[in-house]
Amino acid sequence: MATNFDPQWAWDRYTPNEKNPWTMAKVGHVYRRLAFGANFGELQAGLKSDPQKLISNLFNGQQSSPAYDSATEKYLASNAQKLNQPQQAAGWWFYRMLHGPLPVAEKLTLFWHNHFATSNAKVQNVAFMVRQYETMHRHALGRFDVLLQEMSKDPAMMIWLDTIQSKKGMPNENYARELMELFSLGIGNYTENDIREAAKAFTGWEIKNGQFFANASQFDSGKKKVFGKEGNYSGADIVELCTKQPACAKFIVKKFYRFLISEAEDISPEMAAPLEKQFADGFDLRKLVEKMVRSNLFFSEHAYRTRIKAPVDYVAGMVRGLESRMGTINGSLNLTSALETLGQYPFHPPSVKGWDGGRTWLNGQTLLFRQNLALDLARRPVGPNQPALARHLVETHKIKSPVEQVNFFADLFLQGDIPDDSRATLTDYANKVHKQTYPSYWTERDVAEQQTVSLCHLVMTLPEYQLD
Amino acid sequence: MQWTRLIGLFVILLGVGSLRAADTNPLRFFPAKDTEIVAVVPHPRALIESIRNHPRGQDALTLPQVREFLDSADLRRVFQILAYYERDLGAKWPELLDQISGDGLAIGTKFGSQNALFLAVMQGRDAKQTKKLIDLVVKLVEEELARNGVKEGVLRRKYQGIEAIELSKDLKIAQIDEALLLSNNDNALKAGIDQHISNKKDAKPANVANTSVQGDVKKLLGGQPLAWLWLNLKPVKELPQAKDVFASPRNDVVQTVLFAGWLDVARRADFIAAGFYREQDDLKFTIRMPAGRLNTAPDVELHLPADPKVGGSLPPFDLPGMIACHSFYLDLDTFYSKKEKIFPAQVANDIANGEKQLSRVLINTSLPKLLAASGVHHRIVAVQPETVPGYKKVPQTRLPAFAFVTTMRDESFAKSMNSIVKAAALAAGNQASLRSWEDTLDDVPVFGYSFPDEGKFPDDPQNLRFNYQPTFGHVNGQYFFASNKGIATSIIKAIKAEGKPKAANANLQTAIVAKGFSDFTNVSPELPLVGMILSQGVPLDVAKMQTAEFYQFLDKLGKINVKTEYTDTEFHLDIIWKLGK
Repeated sequence: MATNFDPQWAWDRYTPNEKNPWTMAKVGHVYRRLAFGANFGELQAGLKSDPQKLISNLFNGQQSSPAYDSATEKYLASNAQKLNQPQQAAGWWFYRMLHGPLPVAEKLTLFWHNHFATSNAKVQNVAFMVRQYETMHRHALGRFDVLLQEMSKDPAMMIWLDTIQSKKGMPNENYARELMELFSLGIGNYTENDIREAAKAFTGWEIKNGQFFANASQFDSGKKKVFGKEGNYSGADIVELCTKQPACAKFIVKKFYRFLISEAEDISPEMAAPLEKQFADGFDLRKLVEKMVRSNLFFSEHAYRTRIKAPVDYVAGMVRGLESRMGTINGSLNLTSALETLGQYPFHPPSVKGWDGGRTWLNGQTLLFRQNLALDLARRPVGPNQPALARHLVETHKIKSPVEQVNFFADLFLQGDIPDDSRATLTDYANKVHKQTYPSYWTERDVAEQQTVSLCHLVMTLPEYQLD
Repeated sequence: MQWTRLIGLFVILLGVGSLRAADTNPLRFFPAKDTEIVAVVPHPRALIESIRNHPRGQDALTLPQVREFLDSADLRRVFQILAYYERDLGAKWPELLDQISGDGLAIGTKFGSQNALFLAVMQGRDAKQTKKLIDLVVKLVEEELARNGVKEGVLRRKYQGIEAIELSKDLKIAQIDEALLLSNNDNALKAGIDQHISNKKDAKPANVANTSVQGDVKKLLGGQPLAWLWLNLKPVKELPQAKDVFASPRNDVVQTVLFAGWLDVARRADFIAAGFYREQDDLKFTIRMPAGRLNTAPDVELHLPADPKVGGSLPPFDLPGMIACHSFYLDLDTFYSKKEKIFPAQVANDIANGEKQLSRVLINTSLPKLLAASGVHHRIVAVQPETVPGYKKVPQTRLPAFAFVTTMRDESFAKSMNSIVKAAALAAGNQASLRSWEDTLDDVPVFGYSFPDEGKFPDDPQNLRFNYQPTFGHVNGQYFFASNKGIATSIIKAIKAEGKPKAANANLQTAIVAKGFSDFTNVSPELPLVGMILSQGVPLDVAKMQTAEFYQFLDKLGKINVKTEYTDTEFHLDIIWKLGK
């Protein structure tokens, strides 16, 4: 059941007011939905700013993390391609998500990666996968119709959905089917005949020297009847026909709603109507995304913590919050492998439908893994002869007592928004933590570090921290 | 009668001295009949310091990966515990190690034991310190149990009047004077205590210290090993699965061709001894058995000349960019001509039938003739070439070049081999578009095959085929096959420089050169460089620096030499790591 709000109110720009003030919780919300979480400095700066300005800053790119180095990142990308190393490619992309200067683009590229879900498990060509990433990244906030055209001719996609096997007289229907069902229209907005006819338009599409190549001799140049219209359509024509269907804007708006606003419920037709109208006029993705994230609805309780954190968001959120500069494929704590274990291995979605997401992210095994990973990160030394990440953070921010530390970590990871009973339990633990017995061989510094690590870990294992 | 009193005193001192020596041997706790494997570290401190102070050990500590490993959260805890013991026991770890295990550490076990029951003995020099250590460990364990809400503390029980402490399900300990006994099993610990009681009561207690084990090992290994191991082979040979392996003659042709010599000495030896040594900066690991050339089975003649004067193997090559060279003795003529002696009748028949089939396709020769003309000394060598000569195009990645070199009893071997190679190449060349050529390298006529520079090979986009140019020839009584002209030239020069090489007594020698291996991995420096960036989270320039340091470290690792040697009564397998500069 979709909740029906006044569309005017829902999509109007949010302006803080007495009843609905600009809070740290809202800053965190923006950073989670548009990026991969914030560190303490970003939260503080965001609070001092205002919502619209903060969103503009995120869209325009922020100062990259000190751990980011453009030359290094480019080197990683080129080598993952040259050596055809899928794990390196995943590590490289996660490096960009963690430290890159434009997390909004990375976040939306991840959205498109799930939408046009293509896996290297079948493609077996990292260079093609990286090129597909580049296409999605380039158009992540551009025009959907252009993106859809380019994705149709993308070599990784052509291998993934067998377009390269589609020959005159033997059209392969895979791409035509997914184009309509998963990429542009959704089930119920096309017929089996539309698929059969459209498939003929993609015949002769090949890859030559790593590039899209239209082989005229294998192209079925006959007439095709699609969506009730007949013509000598090419593949590009079919893609254009899809985007011109009213269902296309509906489909994309609905999908973005689940991604940016709430995966707990679908958007109502009344609420969707103004967005669909705007989107159908130019397919401007940035305009659509901005409309949603600048809105009253986005900053309302109907959007707040209404998604379950995907593994990438969970892991990146902790690493960014702890201000770690660690590598993404480290021998002792391999973040890229952790993503795979948690079920979201970049460049390897499980099927053409992408990751199911939502509640499927969590089960007994993944929850336990998430909690252990949180501990491993909190206790990970910053570097040789340096304290653990959690301890380093409180020392940097001059947070002294255990109770102050609980509040600090609650602010950092949950922006202070935790249920009263959880806060009471945490505060109680913090008050008693000095009474605990520790191994005799620990120094005072070890004890202090352990206390900080355990407080940080407790906060990161609160149920609310699993929510996005 | 002063002199008699002096003699009496001397005898008493001698007695005390020998008693002391017996009392400090950790092997006295191991029952002779139940101990089939023993590992001993005579001076644990010396062993640890020899590794810790080793120049490359010191160098390794500067590598970022090692630094990170040593600074991991778990290892930090280990170092914290160590610091705690040092503080509470009032001594630094080297001194502590002497106090609690200065007279040796021994571990013993038995074949076929379920869950690998073991008994370990740390023979200390200071009973009070050992007691303090145990108290400290127990205290820590009890604290940890209490922290975890376990009400029951550490379990203490008396056995034969000696307190046994169960620190965990898999670790039980007991102190007997200066000795600390550890085991993963109650019965194994009890056996150690029982042996201790027996040592006190019996005139000649049946413990390992009273057997010939130490003497045998010392005699066989020699020198002062930092650690040694003794393994009783008698129970191994009684295992059902070992019967076929140690049988003579043996049904398995492959086992015979590959391992006949080793299996034969193991069949005749009662035990295996192994030792680890540091000699200056060289580290040596040796495995030895008390059975040698005398009384060998007929199949050993494959790997070992009947006449020791023939020599075992030629010295390994020392070529520019060498990664490894393996030199060995293998007499294939014996394999065929004495097959009836070496193998059971059915296997010998099968070999004879196989020969008939094979000889049909051999041109102008037969397998027996070819084998009779072949030599017994063989060498395989791999190098990382700086360039690959012979092609206009260069491969995107330089792959190692390799060569096989074998001696000949008769020059007719070269003639026959050339005919065989040319016939085979004629058949394969049509498929692979190979072009044949003849050339002279360093005044030696050679022939070979090349890929056409302009040929189309869609399956080889990186042009890796241009690493190879099969080259054949012979010089100074040795026939060679080389993977390209570059290594063929190096081989020819090396053989000429050797003159008439003298084979060593060792029947197998291998040299592995770290620099060559380092050059090989450095052909694709991207791989370690990317690994460094993604693991350490460092920028490209820092990763380049760290990778360069890693390669410098690799280059300085020097060379590993492996050899097997037979005396009349012994078998030796030595692995020696010689450092580079």
